[in-house]
Order: sequence, then structure tokens, then C-alpha cells
Amino acid sequence: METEDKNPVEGGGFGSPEQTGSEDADPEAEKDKKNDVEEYSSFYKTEVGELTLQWKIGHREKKVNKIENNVSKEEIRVDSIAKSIESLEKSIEKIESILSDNDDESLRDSLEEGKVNLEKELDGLKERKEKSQEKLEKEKEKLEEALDNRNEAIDIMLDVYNEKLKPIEEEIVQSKAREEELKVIASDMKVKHDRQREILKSFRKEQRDLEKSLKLAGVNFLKRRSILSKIRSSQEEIADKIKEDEESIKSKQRDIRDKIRDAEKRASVYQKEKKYFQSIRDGESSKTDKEESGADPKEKKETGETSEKEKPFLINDLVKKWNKHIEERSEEEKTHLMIEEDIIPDIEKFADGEKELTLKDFKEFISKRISMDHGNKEILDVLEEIFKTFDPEN
Amino acid sequence: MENKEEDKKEYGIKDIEEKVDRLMKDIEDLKKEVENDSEETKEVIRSISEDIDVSMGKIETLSSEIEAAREKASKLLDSSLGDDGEE
Repeated sequence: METEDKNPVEGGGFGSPEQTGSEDADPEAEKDKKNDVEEYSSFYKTEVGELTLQWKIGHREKKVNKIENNVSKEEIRVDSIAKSIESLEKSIEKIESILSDNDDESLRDSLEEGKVNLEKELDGLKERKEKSQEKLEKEKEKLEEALDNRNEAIDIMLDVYNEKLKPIEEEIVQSKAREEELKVIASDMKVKHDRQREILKSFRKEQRDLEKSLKLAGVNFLKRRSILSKIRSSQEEIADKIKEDEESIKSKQRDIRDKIRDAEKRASVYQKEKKYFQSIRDGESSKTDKEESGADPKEKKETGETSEKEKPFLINDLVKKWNKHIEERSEEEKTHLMIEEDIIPDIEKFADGEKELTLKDFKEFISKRISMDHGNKEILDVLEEIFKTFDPEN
Repeated sequence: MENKEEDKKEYGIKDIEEKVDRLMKDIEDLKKEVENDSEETKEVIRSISEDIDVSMGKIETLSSEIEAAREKASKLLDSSLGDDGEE
């Protein structure tokens, strides 16, 4: 497939090596770029180059989350400065009210001095608030742009999948039906060939009998050879024809099977990608629904109503408990689902360098890993089933 | 006595020749049957093969269109905000 040979790191992709040499480079951004390249390299080694776009979107998703975090932090900062401003303004109002009712010169001087200091502090805070507000606006713009851009890319793909994937699936179904027909023909053909081979066997017996009779009748060697060679060569021609037909039908079946398998493989990449993009879009709309209904996830956290899936667990513990949880599964499932210790750094990277991860994110990590390593839908279904009973607290 | 032996021999050879002819005819009949079967099967296989190639051609075209969209989406992501190291 075309994209197999394309490296998103090249040509201005994330963490593009040619982007790393800027003079005023931010060390944090440099680190991010390095991580991008490493992440991409390990992804690419899985030989699932077809999933490049999916990887890019997933990567973008992480960046969107990062900006969302920055926006939240900046909002908290702006709120906190606003509260300080409010309290300072109240203090100044109080001083002004005392000043208006008081004639004591020395008290007035001290209050005036205090008021000037508070006003200076207030100006400083207002300036800080303005800067924070500006930063917040910029982060919001960035977020909006990143989301618009991500959604635009996803919508392009969803539109094209909605239009093109179904006909591909239909063509595959039709081809498989034709393949089945060919299987029936091959099977009928085998029955015929078996019968024809039996007839040939009986001809060979007749030929041997004739050979004996010719000898007994005193027919000389040359004449015998001339009669028998004609019989023999005709039989060989038939046997060769049967063999040739069998090989030809087998080779055609292999050829058709390979073609259909390639088409299915290609369609499966598209199906997975469509599902993945749709899940991001669905997540987006359910997020909007929540926001519209006023159920702000931040508020939920503040009131301590964190659901089990949002509760963070130590990655090391999660891995140990997960491996224990799947101990009873079949060897094949364990091969796909068991998490080796050397994967833990990848999970930490997935958790943006944190040592903790929510159950929901842990599941997302394993699903992505399986999709990249095996692309096996059955294992993903098994994973879904196992997760229903997985409780890291037990 | 000698003539009798000769007649017997001649009759025996004639009988064998008849058997050879019959066997050759049977072989030829089988050959024709095999060839006819082969032609018929080839024709059906050709038709199935052609249908599958047409389907594969359609899939190829549709896939190219998907790939083109994917390329477009990929470029859009590459050129977008967030890839310039701002975050």
C-alpha cells in the first residue's frame, strides 16, 4: 500500500528531524520532538505502516489533551488572580471608607500609605491577570485550531469511508461467492478425474494382458512395440491432461484466494481506521452533550464523584494485576495480552511520563498495542470481555 | 496339422488386433471426455476469474480514492498547528 513507505516524520511531520535545529528551541518542545520520533520509530517497526494516519490522529489527540490541560491550568490561574483582585479592591474600599470618616492626621497618613501600596499591588495583579488572560485566549485558539484541524482530517476520512468502504465490502462478498463456486467446480472436477483415473487403470491392465497375448501369439518385438507404444502414449497424454487441469485449477484457486485475502486485509485496515475515527468523533459529540447538559467533568472531579475508570492506578500495579487476571486464559490469548515488564516504559510514555494511569487509558493503551501488533479483531473482542471483569482493586 | 496351427495363430492375432482397436477406441473416447471437461471447466474458471478481476479492479480504484483522501488528511495534519513545536 502506498502509505507503507511513507514516514510521517519526514517532510514536516511531527518531530521532523529538520525541525529540531531552531536556535530558540524550547527544551520541552525538543524533548517532545525526540519522543515523537522514538514513538514513531517503535510504531513503524510494527510493520503496520497502513495505520500511519491513525497514529497521527492518535498523536494529535494527545496534543489536544495537552492543550486542554494548559487551558484548564490557565483558567484556574486567571480565577485565582481575579479573586485576589476582588479582595484587594475590597480592602482599598474599606480604607477609603475609614479615611472619609476619620480626621486623625497620623492615622490618615498611615492609611494613605497603605492604600498606595495596595493600589500598586492591585495594578501588578491586574497586569498579571491581563497576561494570563492573553495566554488563556492563545491556548484556547490553539485548542480550537487543533480540534478543527483534527476533525477536518477525520471528517475527510469518514466521508470517504462512508462512500467507498461499503462498495469494497460488497465486491469482496461477491468475489468470495465466486470463489465458493470455484471450490464446487474443483470438487466436481476431482470426482470426474478420480473416475477417469480408474478407467485409465483398467486400460493399463488391458494393455498388459494384450502385451502377454501378443507375445504368446509370436508377434515380434518391433511390431509389439509399435502397437503398444501408441496405446501407452495415448494413455500418458490423458494422465498428463488430467494432472495439468488439476494444477491449473489449484493455481487459479490460490491466485483468487490471494487476491481476495489482499482485498480483505486492505478493507480491514480501512474498517479499523473508520471505527477509530468514528470513536473520536462520537467521543467529541458525547463530550459536547455533557457540556450542553452542564455536566462538566471538572466539576465532577471536584465533588469527588470520580468514576472507577477515571481513577488513577500505579502503572506497575496495573500491569501486575492485569497479568495475574489473564493467567487462566488460553496460551494464544496470553501471548497477545500479557504485558512484559519492558513495555512499562511505553505505558509511562503513553501516560505523558506519569507513573499512574486510569483504567480507561490502560485499556486504550492495550487496545492500540494489539491493533498495531496484530490487527486481530478477535483478540480485541477478548480484551473487551476480559476488561468487564478486571478490577485492579481486587 | 501345420495349416491348423497357422489358422489358430492367425485367428489369435485377429482377436488381439480387435482387442487393440477396441482399447484404442476406448482410450480415444476417454481422451475426448477429458478434453471436453477441461474446456468446459476452463471456460467457467475464465468467467469466474474475469469477474474477480473486475471486482479487484473496482476495489483498487476505490482504495486509490481512499488513499488519496488519506494523503490529504495526513498532509492537513502535518501542516497544522501543533507540528511546529509550539506545544
